[in-house]
Amino acid sequence: MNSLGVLMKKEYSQVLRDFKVIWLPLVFVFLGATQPIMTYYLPVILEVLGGTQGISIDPTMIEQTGGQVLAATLGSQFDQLGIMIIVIAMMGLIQSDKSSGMLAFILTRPVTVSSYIGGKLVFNYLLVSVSVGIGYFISLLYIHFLFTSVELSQLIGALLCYLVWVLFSVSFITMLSAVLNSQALIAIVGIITLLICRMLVGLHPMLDAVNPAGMSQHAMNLLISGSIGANLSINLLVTIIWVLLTVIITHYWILQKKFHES
Amino acid sequence: MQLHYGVDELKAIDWMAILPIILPFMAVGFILILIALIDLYRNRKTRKNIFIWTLLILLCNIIGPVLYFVIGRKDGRTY
Amino acid sequence: MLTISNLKKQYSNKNILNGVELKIEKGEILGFVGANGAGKTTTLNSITGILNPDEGTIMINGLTASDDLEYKKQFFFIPDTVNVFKNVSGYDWISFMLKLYDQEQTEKLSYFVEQFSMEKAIHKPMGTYSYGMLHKMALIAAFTIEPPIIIMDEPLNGLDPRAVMTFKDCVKNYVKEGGTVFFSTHLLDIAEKICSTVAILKDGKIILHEDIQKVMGEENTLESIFMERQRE
Repeated sequence: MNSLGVLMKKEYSQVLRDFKVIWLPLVFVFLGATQPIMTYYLPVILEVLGGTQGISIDPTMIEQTGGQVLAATLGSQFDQLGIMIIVIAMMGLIQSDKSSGMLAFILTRPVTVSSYIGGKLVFNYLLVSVSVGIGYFISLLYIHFLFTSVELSQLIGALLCYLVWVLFSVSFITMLSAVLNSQALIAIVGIITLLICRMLVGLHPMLDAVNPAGMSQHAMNLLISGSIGANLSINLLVTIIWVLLTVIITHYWILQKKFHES
Repeated sequence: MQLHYGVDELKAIDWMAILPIILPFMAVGFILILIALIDLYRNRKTRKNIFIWTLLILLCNIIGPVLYFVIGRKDGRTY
Repeated sequence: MLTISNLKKQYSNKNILNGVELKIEKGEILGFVGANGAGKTTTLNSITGILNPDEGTIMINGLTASDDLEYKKQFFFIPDTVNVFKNVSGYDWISFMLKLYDQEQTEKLSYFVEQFSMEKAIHKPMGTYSYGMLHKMALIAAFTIEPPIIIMDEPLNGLDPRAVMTFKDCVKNYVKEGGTVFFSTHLLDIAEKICSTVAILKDGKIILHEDIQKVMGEENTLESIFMERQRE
């Protein structure tokens, strides 16, 4: 029985029709390019805005290393507008199937709830990961050209850490998409929760260890300092537990047919 | 490195050097807007609030086209 | 082959199903009738697993819903509105369905496509289909897949007279080859020509389940029987 594969194919054709496969990578390319360009031309931009007087620029601003700029791409672009875009792109994942009756239709076929969720999650996570990866690579290209280059091992390590945080974001929105019925509500709850998670990072070490957004911070630390943070393994473990929890709740919700009664 | 810029220096900025860097960047944003607008135009008969979507796509950088793709194209996928 | 016992379901403190008891034998063509709101769709949804009933058991060939995949392979369900992607062609949709039921495309498919005269439409996107055509597509899928039982919610709605004839023939052939059919309907005059047995649902209970010839006797029509039973 290969219903997972069949469902992933269905998911693929759906994504293709939504143009998601085109615009999601494009958005991340845009976000990835923004940070290095902004950082590099900030003095010029300030000049234009500042009028005739001329401003002195903090020298450290210009002397950023490639790693710092790449970290800023993750922290100020992907973790803000990027997260919002991911939420918006994924909010209808299960919700649209619920409202159209497609979910009920699919679940009366020989398809397990796990392969339904699995097909959705695996395919869409791959799509988001590839998009983030492409954006990250474009950012790197610009950084290589405008700043210093970044060491390959740090580069890949940081991306992998960051993709764990992305995995949590995707599975969390999938859960919201199963539990809630209004797209607007899913978007608002999703964006606010994920942004709060991100903002809480750095307040307290204990909090950081259980915060999935800590993985994003680990990625940035790796790029800036070149060393792995102290509680990376705990953070990784806890994040994976969070991901499993969201998947289990999604599974339970659909299995209990809660979607049908509300 | 010179850290003081005046207006004269601004004019002296080598735009030709900047262009190859900025151009692809701007092109990406432009492509997104273009795809959204073309889709909106091709489906103008079935879409609602065409004027608002056009403004949103043109004025809200990135978010505008994305919102259009996710929410504005909904009627293309009913059952 | 399909046994329902003591099926109960409440919706916002209103009892929709009050202990439905139904036993369908292999080879039956059971017409399931009842007034609006009697609980026909709720019963069908409970069998097919769209709903979880509050109480009661449902068994198909000795399997229950907890057997999941094996249970779901026992039937093909056609809901009253067939959900399909607008941009998918009927052919792609059927291929998708066949794959879900672990089946390859055979000449059976083209035979039924021809029977329901969908040769031209099958390659067009399903968004262009009428309500009746969508039902025809679902029927083609059902007869091609040939599960042990086909369960349908109002399959006759939207079908043109010719399609109803084809439907009747296909059902008869399918049952001859060992299938079982269970469908709800409001169209009593057509039902009495197709069905071998009839079950009437009233206030969440089965009040009659009988061979259709026996029920109707010599002069009665299904309609008159139904009206009589509703009044009681």
